[in-house]
Amino acid sequence: MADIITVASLKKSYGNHVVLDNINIKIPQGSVVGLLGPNGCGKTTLLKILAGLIKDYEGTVKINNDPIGVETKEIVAFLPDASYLPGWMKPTDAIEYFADFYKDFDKAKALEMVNGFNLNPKQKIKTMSKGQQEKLCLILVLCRKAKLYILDEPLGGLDPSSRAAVLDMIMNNYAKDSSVLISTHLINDVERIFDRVLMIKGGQLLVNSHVNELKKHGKSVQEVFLEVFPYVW
Amino acid sequence: MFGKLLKHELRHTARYHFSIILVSVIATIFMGVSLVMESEALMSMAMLPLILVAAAVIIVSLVSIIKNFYETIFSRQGYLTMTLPVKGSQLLISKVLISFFWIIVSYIAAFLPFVFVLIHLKKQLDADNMTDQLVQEITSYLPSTGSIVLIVIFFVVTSLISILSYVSYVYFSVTIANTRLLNKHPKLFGGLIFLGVSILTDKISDFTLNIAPLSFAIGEEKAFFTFKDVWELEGVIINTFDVNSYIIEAVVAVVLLLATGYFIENKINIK
Repeated sequence: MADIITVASLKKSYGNHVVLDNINIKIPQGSVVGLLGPNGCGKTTLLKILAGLIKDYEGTVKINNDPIGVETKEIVAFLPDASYLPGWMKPTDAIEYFADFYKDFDKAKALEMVNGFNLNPKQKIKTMSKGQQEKLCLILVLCRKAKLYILDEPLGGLDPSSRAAVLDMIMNNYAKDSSVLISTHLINDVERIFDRVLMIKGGQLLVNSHVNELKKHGKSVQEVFLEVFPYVW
Repeated sequence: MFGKLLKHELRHTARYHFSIILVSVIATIFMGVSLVMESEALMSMAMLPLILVAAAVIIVSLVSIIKNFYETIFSRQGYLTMTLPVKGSQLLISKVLISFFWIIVSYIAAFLPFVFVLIHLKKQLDADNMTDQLVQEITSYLPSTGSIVLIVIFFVVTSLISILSYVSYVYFSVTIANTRLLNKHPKLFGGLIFLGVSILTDKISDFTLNIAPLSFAIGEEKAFFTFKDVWELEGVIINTFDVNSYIIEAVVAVVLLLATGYFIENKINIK
């Protein structure tokens, strides 16, 4: 199967601080991948590079065999770790915005989901709670039939009961022939959905394995994570 | 896609400009009412707020262009803007065009109330049978119709260059101030870069003036472009304008916009 993500010899530094060092990743199409690691390990930097938000890096990064650019942005649905929609917008404005720019956006489904999650389509985003804003951002991303979904800490600001609901929302709504890359440090909640896990520490990729490989020894992803990062908890 | 960028840029920026333009419209109505009522006291009272509103409309418009550019590219909203499947150059051109549009609208809004003052003055002159006399007086200082067209074109083009120049300085300064090297103090560096680019442009204009000083002269007979100094010109010259500075401004503006596009496309990291 062709690779949706190809990263070769990727290096990214901020001044003298190396954030990602010689990262090599190949992710086949149709995978659900967990990007795991403690805070500050370079997860968000890697996702921002894939989304086209960070440009001054060394190495090769390709999505669907294209270098990062307009073509890759057409097929990538990116969810940042916090709301990024302008406060003056209403959900209906945001939906119109996405419908205008993304050919793969399902407007009817988005309106249905906004109602389904009890969001007021006419409420200004700046007056919504943090949780409501995050739900809206997730709806906008999941209503695209993207080839690759990149979700940065989608469960970060949620209470445990909401996490399960949001995970179900992700798994029930992403286009099934697509790939999903989820960054998180809440492994317990999400390990059931992963096909593959990547573990990053200090800018280096320490684990890049299929979940079945990891579980061969009867361990959960969480247990493997604790072995790889014994001092982070 | 470019049309959609323009549509959303216009929609996004309208909220900055709408309220201040509304104030200007209210001021215009107030001025209109005072003129209809022929109330000298009301009109005198309205003049100062009118001048303040005119200044505020233009200042708010210019500041909004800086704020909007920063917010949509370099703040959290940059996640929305910079992940759109559009080229950086398309994004930049759409922003330049809409900024152009709002500056022109704000100038119109700022000067609209004064149109009523002019209409009122004309009415008074009409009443005193002085209009014809005044028109004759003014036109006696102007050259032929063909030259008047040239003068109008000159002022329209130079005004557009000045607007383009302001927008390009702002976009370039904000962009460079948000590169990794300077983004700890973006306001300070943005201001310094704006100032630096303005001074540099002036210096280049001065330099070219010494080599080939092109002027636009408005004479009693005609308006024309010339490389001669004003005292070398024949006939009565009403005024001359330095053309070099406008040419340099236009060239610098284009260079700065290209540089801004390059930096946005290749060097800017969204925080």
